Amino acid sequence: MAHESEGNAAMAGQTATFEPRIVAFCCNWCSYAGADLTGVSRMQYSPNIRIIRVMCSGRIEPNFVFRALELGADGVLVAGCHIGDCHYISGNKEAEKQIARTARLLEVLGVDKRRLRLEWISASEGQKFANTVNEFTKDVRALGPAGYGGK
Amino acid sequence: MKDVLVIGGGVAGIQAALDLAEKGVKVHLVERTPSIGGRMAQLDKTFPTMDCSICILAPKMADCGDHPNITLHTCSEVTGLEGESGNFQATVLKHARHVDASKCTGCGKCTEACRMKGRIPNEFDFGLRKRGAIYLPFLQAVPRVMNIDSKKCLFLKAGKCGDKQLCKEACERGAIDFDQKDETLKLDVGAVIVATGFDLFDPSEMFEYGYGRLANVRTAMEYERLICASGPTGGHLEVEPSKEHPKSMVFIQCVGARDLRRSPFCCSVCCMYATKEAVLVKEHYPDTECTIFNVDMRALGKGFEEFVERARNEYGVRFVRARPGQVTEDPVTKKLSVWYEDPSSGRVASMDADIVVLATALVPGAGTVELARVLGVELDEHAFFKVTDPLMEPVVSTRPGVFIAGYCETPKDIPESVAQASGAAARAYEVLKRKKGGAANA
Amino acid sequence: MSAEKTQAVESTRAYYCVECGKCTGICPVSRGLEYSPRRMVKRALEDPELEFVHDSQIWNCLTCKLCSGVCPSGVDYIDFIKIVRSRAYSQGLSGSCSQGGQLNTMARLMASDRLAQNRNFWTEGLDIAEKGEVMYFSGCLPYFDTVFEDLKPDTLDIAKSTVKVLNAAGIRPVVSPAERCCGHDLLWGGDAVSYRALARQNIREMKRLGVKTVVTSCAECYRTLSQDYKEMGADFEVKHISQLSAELLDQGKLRVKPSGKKVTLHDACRLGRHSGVYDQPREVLRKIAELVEMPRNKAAAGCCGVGAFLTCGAHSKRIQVERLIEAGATAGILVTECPKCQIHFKCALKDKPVPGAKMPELEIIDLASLLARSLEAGNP
Repeated sequence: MAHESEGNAAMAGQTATFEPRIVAFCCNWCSYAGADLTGVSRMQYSPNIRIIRVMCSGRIEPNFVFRALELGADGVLVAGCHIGDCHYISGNKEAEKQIARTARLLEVLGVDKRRLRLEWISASEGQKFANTVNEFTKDVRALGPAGYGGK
Repeated sequence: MKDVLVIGGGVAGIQAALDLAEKGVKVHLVERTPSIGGRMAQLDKTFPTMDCSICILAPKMADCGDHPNITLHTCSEVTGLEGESGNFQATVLKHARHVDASKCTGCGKCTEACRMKGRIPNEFDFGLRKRGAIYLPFLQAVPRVMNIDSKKCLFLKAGKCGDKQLCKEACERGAIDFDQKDETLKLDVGAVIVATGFDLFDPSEMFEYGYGRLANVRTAMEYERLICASGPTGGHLEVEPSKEHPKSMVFIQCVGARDLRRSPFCCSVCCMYATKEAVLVKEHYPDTECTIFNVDMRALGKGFEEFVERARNEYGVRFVRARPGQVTEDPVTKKLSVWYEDPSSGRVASMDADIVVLATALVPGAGTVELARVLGVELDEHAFFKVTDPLMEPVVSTRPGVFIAGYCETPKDIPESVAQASGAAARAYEVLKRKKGGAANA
Repeated sequence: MSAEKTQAVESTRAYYCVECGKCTGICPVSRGLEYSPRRMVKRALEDPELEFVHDSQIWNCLTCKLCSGVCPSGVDYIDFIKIVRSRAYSQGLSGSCSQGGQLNTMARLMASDRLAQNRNFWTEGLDIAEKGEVMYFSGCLPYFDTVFEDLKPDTLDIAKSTVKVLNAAGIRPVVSPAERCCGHDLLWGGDAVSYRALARQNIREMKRLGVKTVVTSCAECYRTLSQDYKEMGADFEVKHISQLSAELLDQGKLRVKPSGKKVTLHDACRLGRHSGVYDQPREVLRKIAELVEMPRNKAAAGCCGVGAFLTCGAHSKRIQVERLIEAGATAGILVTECPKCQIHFKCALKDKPVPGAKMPELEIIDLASLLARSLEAGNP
């Protein structure tokens, strides 16, 4: 099974200072608040992410991910409430469905699925937010540039 | 003095023949169908006077038939024209009508007896009535001689008509002659007048109107036959399938005409005849709504604009400046809807109609190209006969000695056709009177 | 007058418009929305810099071509709209594309040179070649079933069936993993630049593989590959599966048994009015089923309600429901020639979007699928 990362890893090795650009969609009630807590607690996390607040992780549809890639993102993180805690009851279930669908489409497109991650982060999990971002940034850095944007 | 050949037995051909005959010229009037009369015989009334069309035409037809100077060649076509102006040799192919004209009185007993009676759509009524294999095209036909459709007659097609030919048995004059053969005539004529009229564009290819698929969508000429008292319904307009009279009628103009993909020219008569047809509806059924969807209202002749105003003000006919995009049929009620863009609001609207009448383009007949080749004259890009100078010589074709009259030259109405026919007759007469070595111009 | 306006009104014959309104009279969109093709043309003629492209109405057109079919001046209205949209797009405007626009974004992603898709997963068990003269162009079929999974359209069955039919006739088509979206939706959505990028790459790949004939089972791909790609330098032959199978049946290379089913055919706009292909699908269907025509068929056929996935709305639903009712009154099975028509119709059948409308019991199946099922066992 081919995907572009095999070529990208080689490229990333050459561009040692590649810094991935990551878009993070955070839901208003849990994960965005969690990110706030991270900041207020003065925890350090990779500066590669740009946070976009949505009201619910269930708002995320495949096009958000594709557009992010088209506009130059190398990875997309989607963060929502834990199952059972969604402010809109079942929004995060919808998010699961949509992200699964997006992952399947990415697979056919030949985009490494590992560039897309779904995490449940509650408003009190400031540390988890920082850890997730740092880990994800590391992973995407290793994958190299997605290379769809900036044409 | 030489004879003159007139090709086409419509009102223009008839007028030209009579003019010449009255001057003492012998005229051969060649007509493709079994009777003279042409399109005018098929109309109900004429605009703007609302005269009964056949009533004013039939006396002229009878004159043609009776005139000692006119020889009618019906069921005939011209297949050759040799020679030059003043001295032509025309070849005319006379198809056998299988009835002896000298014996037939037109009594009609044979048509009653024919085995195919009521089975063949007749041409005169555009298939709205059925005839037999032996028939008279219409009541006022001239010559009043029966003729047999050899493509449909059982005996002529297959050699067998039951155990005996019923028409032959019915005829008390022994006029039926199955052995009659096609004849080829050679005529010496000094001049030729072409007055071959027009054919009708078939709107079946225009899917948006539903002609051929929707029973209540008619062409204008079909409508003329339906509203005519001597027509298939005795002058009653009937909505299919209830047979009730229509409560609303829509007339759509320029069907296939002023259409850059079909006939780009204007047919000149449709605005007026649609107004006339709408007035006729109102005269028959005053409560019926009539709407004419037109592109323009071309009312150019004497009294025409006044006629249109009368239609609008006295009779309540509505005129809408739009070309409908589609005619649909409600699958349950079978009522028609005419979809158009309302010109004032710019919104799509639909108008209910019980019957839709399409003013189809009137185009040069199917045999025109071949006839032009036979006669050695030129046609324009729409297959109308070319004249040498449309301004000053509008009856003179591109071959000296051959003249043109009527619609086949360019779209025009009855008064214009008659006037042009007289003009062509006068020019033809000049040719006959000219001594040898006279003016070169035909 | 700007060069773009010249192109929009001269090459399309919009100059010849006599404002008769016949186009609006037959336009299916204008019956549900405030929309008039005649007004669009009129505004273009009166507007020297084409400022009216800011009007959202320019995205309403289905590009179904019913209007051009009746226009007495021969105005090519859909070409006109295509040029107008491309001008609008270059000014940053765009229409609303279905499913959040994901199909268009994916198509643009596919324009990338570094693409390495995994799109041939469905070819397992089928006989395909890596290089050759006949190519099967599957277009976006590997993506549709996932994008529209709520409808369960199983459009991949169309792709599998097409290859099965080709195999049965002894043809091993090339199915290239480097194939991209043909670009149809981008072209009709105004993004001519991305469309050209896709076209260049598809044509390059076809040349590399030595392709002489491209077979497709999608009417929109068919129109794009056979007409629009010619302007991009393509010189291969293009056949819709209905055309090729009609030929193969004629030549005796395919053997079928009639299914005994009563079906009706929906003429796809891109195959019918755009490309003039009416008879061959019918030849094929008559050999495998009893074909009954709907009242609006061939050039008069209704549209499936959405063109290039743009501006789907209540008016689209009304158009779809009307067509489905017409189909249901004709036969129990509706045969389509384009996976997109199938998706739109299945969506309307599932949603029952028009209150009070009596939705018919209707099975919807693609012509390729029906044909594959009718192949006689033991076809060579």
